[in-house]
Amino acid sequence: MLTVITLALLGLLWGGVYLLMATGLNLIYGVMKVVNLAHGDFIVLGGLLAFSLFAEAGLNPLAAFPIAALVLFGIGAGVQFGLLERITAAGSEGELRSLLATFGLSYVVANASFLVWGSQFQSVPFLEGAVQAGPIAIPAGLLAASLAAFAATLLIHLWLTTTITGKSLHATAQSALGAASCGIDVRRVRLLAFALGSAMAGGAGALVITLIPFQTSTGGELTVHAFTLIALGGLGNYAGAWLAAELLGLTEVFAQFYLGSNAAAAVIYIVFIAVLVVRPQGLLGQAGRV
Amino acid sequence: MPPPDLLRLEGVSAGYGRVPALHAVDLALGPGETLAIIGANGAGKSTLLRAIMGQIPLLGGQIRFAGTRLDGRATHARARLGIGYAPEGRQLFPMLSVADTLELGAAREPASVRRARRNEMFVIFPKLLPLRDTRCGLLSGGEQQMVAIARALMGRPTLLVLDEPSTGLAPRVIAELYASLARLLDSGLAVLVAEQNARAALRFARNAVVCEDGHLTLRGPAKTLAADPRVAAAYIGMHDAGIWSAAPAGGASDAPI
Ligand SMILES: Nc1ncnc2c1ncn2[C@@H]1O[C@H](COP(=O)(O)OP(=O)(O)O)[C@@H](O)[C@H]1O
Ligand SMILES: [Mg+2]
Repeated sequence: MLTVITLALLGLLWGGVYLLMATGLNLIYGVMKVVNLAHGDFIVLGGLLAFSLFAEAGLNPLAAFPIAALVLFGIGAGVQFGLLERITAAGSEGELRSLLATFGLSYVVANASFLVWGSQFQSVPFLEGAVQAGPIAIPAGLLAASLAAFAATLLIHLWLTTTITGKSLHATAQSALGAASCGIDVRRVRLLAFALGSAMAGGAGALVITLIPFQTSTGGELTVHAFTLIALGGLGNYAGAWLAAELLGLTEVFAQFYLGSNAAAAVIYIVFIAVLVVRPQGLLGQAGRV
Repeated sequence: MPPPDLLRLEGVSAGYGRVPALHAVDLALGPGETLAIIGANGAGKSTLLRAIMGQIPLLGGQIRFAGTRLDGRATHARARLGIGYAPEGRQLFPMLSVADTLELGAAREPASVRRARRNEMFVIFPKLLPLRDTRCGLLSGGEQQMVAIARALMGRPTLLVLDEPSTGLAPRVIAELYASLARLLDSGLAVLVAEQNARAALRFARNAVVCEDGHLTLRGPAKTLAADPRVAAAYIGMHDAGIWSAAPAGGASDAPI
């Protein structure tokens, strides 16, 4: 019983980390209807930046978090301005071209990272002990990363739902023409959305590299992870993404414990395919979409 | 001397791709004036409004608003110049509340101004007050159209551009909507309204133009046009035309409504 409770706790904590990894992707999809296939590579880049900040300057990952986020914010803004905004085709053709552009981008980011950091696995040691709660022991690093992730996603959510700028992101997502009629510069909103989504990937990377070692080629896997999560939650749906993150965290932790890590790695892909086949509209469907 | 034009279109051609759907249109509207654009489905009314709002590029001609050339300005920049636009299909934000939607109409103003203007809208459209926290997607068609117009008014426009505000609404709701619009005119607002369902628009506006196949074929005072047999037959329908004292008798039994 104790094992089950511990595993459940671990799963929920991992859920927070997954949520942070996916929220940026969700935000970008919500506003622009583009799945950024370079999202995982952005996460890895953020993580490797945190690694260098730690190795060169002794900065701890919580301090590296805003720096990685800021750098990726800049990169995201550059990508949106220089690449995605130039794709002017409308409708599904525009979406397809944007998707292909981010696919290419993922290679560019992964290879550029490879030139800087090489191919070896890197990680950042952080709070190696455990937090004891009665008979239950939780790794301190996971707890800290998860809490930071929850805090960051909550802040973003509050910003999106309570400020006029946040609402203009929602508005642009729901009707770009309606937003433009309000005098909202929808190009600027899209720039902000892509930059912010990328910043969240960078920040997530700085936290996640303390939990899972990163290699420059880890990005693809993380993209699938994040995409599975938001597809499960219903694309663009924030409440659904949170639920999906917790489910995925629990599934992985339990699968890892009872079936071993190879099986656990396969579980995510099985869930991914199952979602696409059984419930392509996500767990909560259309309700609560951006 | 007549007042200077608020909106002036000269030889405007526009369309989708390289095929024009609008051919060399001239149009002028002064401050506080009302103009109805009527025409059948597919005649080019929305295209004309889209050209004014910068949703499609011009293939020729030019558009001025309050003395400023609009060429090359994006839709949001035109809205900021003082054109309130309620597009075809309303283009509301289905998941946002009425209050949030209205505030977005003045997104660049400080919060206190946004709130004050929002409350003014609840005075103009009292039906929206109890719906302030309701998501726009859940509103009835008439309520949605009120929100679309109120949202367009939030930026304090000098020109209101409405694309088929009466679509999908019951006659009683249409009358109510146009009555609200008529009350707005005291403030000096100019209104350009495109309608396929011409009756209410012709009663509301002082002047009107008929759009056919991308050309403006008839123009004049709305009352005169409403009484014109060609207009009555094609755009008001024989049944409805009966309300006009000067409406022609007979003919047009196959007229579309
Ligand atoms: N997005 C579009 N792409 C291509 N053609 C269009 C588009 N919208 C309208 N058209 C065409 O332009 C012409 C005028 O349409 P529109 O301005 O929408 O008419 P109205 O608003 O008077 O019903 C029609 O022939 C229509 O088929
Ligand atoms: Mg139309």
